[in-house]
Amino acid sequence: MKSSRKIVVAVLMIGAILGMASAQKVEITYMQWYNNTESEGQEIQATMDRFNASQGKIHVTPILVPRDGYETKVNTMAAAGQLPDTTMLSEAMAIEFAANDLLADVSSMYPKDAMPMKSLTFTYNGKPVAYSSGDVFLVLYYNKKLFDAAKLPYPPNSAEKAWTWKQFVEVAKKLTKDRNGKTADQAGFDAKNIVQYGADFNRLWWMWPIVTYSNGGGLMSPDGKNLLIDRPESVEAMQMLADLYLKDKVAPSVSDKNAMPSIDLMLLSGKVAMQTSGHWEMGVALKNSLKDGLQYGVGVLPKMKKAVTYNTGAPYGIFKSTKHLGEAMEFMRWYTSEKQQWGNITGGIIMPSNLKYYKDDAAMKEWADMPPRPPFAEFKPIIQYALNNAIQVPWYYFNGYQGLSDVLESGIDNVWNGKTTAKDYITQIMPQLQKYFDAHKAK
Amino acid sequence: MKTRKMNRIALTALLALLGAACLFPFFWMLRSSLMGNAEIYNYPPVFWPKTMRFGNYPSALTLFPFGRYFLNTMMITVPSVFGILLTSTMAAYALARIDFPFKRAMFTLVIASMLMPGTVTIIPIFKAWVAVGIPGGFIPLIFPAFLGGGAFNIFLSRQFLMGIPKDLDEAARMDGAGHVRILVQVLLPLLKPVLISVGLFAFILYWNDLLGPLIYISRNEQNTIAQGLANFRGGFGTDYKAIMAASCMAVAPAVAIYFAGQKYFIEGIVLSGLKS
Amino acid sequence: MTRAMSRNARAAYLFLTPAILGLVLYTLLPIAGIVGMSLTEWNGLVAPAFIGLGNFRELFTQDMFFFTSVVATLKFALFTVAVGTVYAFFVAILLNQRIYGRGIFRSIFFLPFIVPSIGAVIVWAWMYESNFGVFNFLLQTIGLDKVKWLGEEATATPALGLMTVWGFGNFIVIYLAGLQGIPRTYLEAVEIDGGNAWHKFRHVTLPLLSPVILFNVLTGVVSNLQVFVPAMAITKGSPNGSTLYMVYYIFRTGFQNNRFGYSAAISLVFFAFIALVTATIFLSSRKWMFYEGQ
Repeated sequence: MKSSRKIVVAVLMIGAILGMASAQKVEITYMQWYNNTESEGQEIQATMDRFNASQGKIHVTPILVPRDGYETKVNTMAAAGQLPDTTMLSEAMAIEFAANDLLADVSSMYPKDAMPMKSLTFTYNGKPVAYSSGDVFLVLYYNKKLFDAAKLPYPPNSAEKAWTWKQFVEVAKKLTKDRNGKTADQAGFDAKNIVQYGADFNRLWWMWPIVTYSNGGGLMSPDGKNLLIDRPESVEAMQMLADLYLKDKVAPSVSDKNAMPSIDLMLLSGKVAMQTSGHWEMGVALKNSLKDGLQYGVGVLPKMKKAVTYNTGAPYGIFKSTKHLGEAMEFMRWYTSEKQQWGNITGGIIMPSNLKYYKDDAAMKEWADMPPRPPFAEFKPIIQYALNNAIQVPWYYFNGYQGLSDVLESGIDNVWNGKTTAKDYITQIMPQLQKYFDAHKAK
Repeated sequence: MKTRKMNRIALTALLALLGAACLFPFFWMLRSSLMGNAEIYNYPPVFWPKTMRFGNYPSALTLFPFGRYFLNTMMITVPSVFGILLTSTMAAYALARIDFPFKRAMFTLVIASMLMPGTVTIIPIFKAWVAVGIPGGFIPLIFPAFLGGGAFNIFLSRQFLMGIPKDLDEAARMDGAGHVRILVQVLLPLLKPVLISVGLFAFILYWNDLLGPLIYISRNEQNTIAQGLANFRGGFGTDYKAIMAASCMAVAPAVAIYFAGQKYFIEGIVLSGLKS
Repeated sequence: MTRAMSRNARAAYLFLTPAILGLVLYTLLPIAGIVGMSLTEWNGLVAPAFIGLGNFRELFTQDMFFFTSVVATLKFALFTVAVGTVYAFFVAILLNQRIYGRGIFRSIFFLPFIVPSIGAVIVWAWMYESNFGVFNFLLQTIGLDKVKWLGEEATATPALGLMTVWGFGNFIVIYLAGLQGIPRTYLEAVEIDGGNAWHKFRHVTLPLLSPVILFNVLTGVVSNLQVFVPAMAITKGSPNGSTLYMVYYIFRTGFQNNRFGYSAAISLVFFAFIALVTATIFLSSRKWMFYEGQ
């Protein structure tokens, strides 16, 4: 009698504990940076709410940080042992986190048919450590009306037809106007009073080095073992880029970082006719000016020797310090899936990370055939370009790209402003670059 | 007499010129906040919008929920200003009115604490908050205000107090008053101007703080005005008309506070005399 | 020590308790922490490794940014304090004259001080923008060439400095307060002796205001050596490191390049440097300071 009562009590207690456990959701945190606005933050919150309501065992709390403050915040948290469970990493920090063994192994996170494509894999010492959940790459945006007015053909949208650098400069000259309406290829052109620039090639620290690859050189070899920036081809490419402003007079000066308006307004207001930037601009900026009459087109970057572009995408990671690896993976898998990112994909911010969304026209049309992207016929070659002609930004494999770039950029304005040549500058900075590189390169 | 008047007009004109230059950035902010995008970026620039777009403000509000930001900022700023006023006055009283051992050393130490840039101490302080179990929220932002209120404020109040005759304290002491009563009943009423000055400086400091909220606030609904403004500056270009409208909104409360206290404000500094 | 004295001392330290706590918790302990950090190689991600004085050795022998940064910071502080002192003093003197609308003017010049720094940065960066900004338009209107304000080494720091000086409303108010504290009789005495406005300024205003000037110069130097937001929010240290101000460099080294041990070492050197500058100004002030009743 006594012992059976004990058993009853024990069963009741176990039942109660189990009941409590199932009512209690596992708490995990998710940290993300966002680019511009409160509304973006609200969308992320709404997605979290959807996740929390969709299942009974995990509750996710988002920590939203403005882009500019992300490194500060995450490093402070790391230093105090307060890392979140899951995060959208800053690209430049992913490998560093991996190198310090802070990232959980996520290679088993995706089922085979949901794996992101190879180009979106961050690798450290040959091992995958994080994946971008969307694909973005550099393209050439242009204002169609300005081309129409000048009776010029639009920039090519496929890698095969990519302009040579010379063709690019020639067209840009015809689109560069002074205040008297003279263009840069005409006699009497007043270079001091330009009101419309033909082309601006983005000189953001991680964007411009693509020209060195295009010219047959590069910043570093794709295995992250050799620095290539002092190759003659790389130096020549840098100089050609600088000459857009210095000699060809078709580009604005490399301006005050952060003071430039967004690209849709640059194009809309006719400040520039062409500008290079990333795929996301359609969903982030360009769509905002459609109602004001902006008609933009998307072309491929001009080539020096070969048609090539950079691809990138924000990496997602799970910190090893998490106490709930399984739940964190489940959430990450859910959150980074195309289904949950569908708004960003169809909205023109990112392209899908999984190849099955590219397998035929029907699959591509499902996400690409709508504004703010151009009509599908125009955009399809661009998709091919992204798949076939893109190389990874070095932060996919090099540990400390930001620091390397701090050295490389330390005096680069002198090149862009013509106070020194690319050759002299690279010669001068090379010892320091090499030293930094050797201390950080893959082993 | 006539030259006097001429002088007065000339000086006023000179000031008006300087003043106009000083106001120009405000004008540019306001003018840009009322324009359409295409107009803002016109070159040569347009100085005043053809049609004023007040609609920019409501639409900026969807990106910049001013009401919520304002409440959050106030929830941090108001207790902080109180803490600064309270503890800086206490410290200033001790440094100005009481003789005690190591007074000079204390004073020098307090002033020296001004020399260390705040960015440097972020990590040790954050670690300490984590250790006591409060890794975020408003408390870590407000708490330091109750710890003396900063060297500058202590200094300003101390100087002001030094300018008030000590006979007042003596008289009160004869009546049997202790230090607290002397400070609260005798001196506090006289301190109004400097309290307003310190309060205003403190208010502005907290109103504009960027790094504190970045570290300690992790929930979107707790964002402050300065943070909200900084969030506009994304990595890739900036929506100027919205950001200008938001800036105008962010400036407005500070301006209001200033005008409310401005009568006493200069007096507070005049009487402190800033003599050592 | 008399009894009253010790009672006073107890009261004084009670009143000072919050400030002393602040000093300990927010200055002394963190500095101790930084001293500890500075002796390590620490990326903030894994446990620090003790390396003795290695960071300091690197700082003085190998760092390619340190010297640039010191120069940039000094230039900025010098520019803002020099220009700012002249500007604030001049405006304060004007405001102290018999003019129309004094209250309004006083507010106008103070107003920039209360603008959130991030707001100021946004509007000024856009006005400075070299291709389409309004400043270059004004230059072109009077027939001058465009200037790459924030894009050129020679102009970047002065441009950011000008923006900072614009926000010096507090200094104007402090000067104005000082001016209003000058007894009329002193000025009248100069008039009786046949002195003109210059004499009044040179022999009464300037000496009587020297403590105020010292205060403003000291706080100005200290706060502007610690300049951060303009570099963080606009220039990111460019062009060519000419705006790589110390605190921003410390910040970048720690938070962006994950070298917290090293950034702690820079902080300490920088702290010593600020203390040295402050002490120098303070000591030199004995030569030019005028104390009433001396």
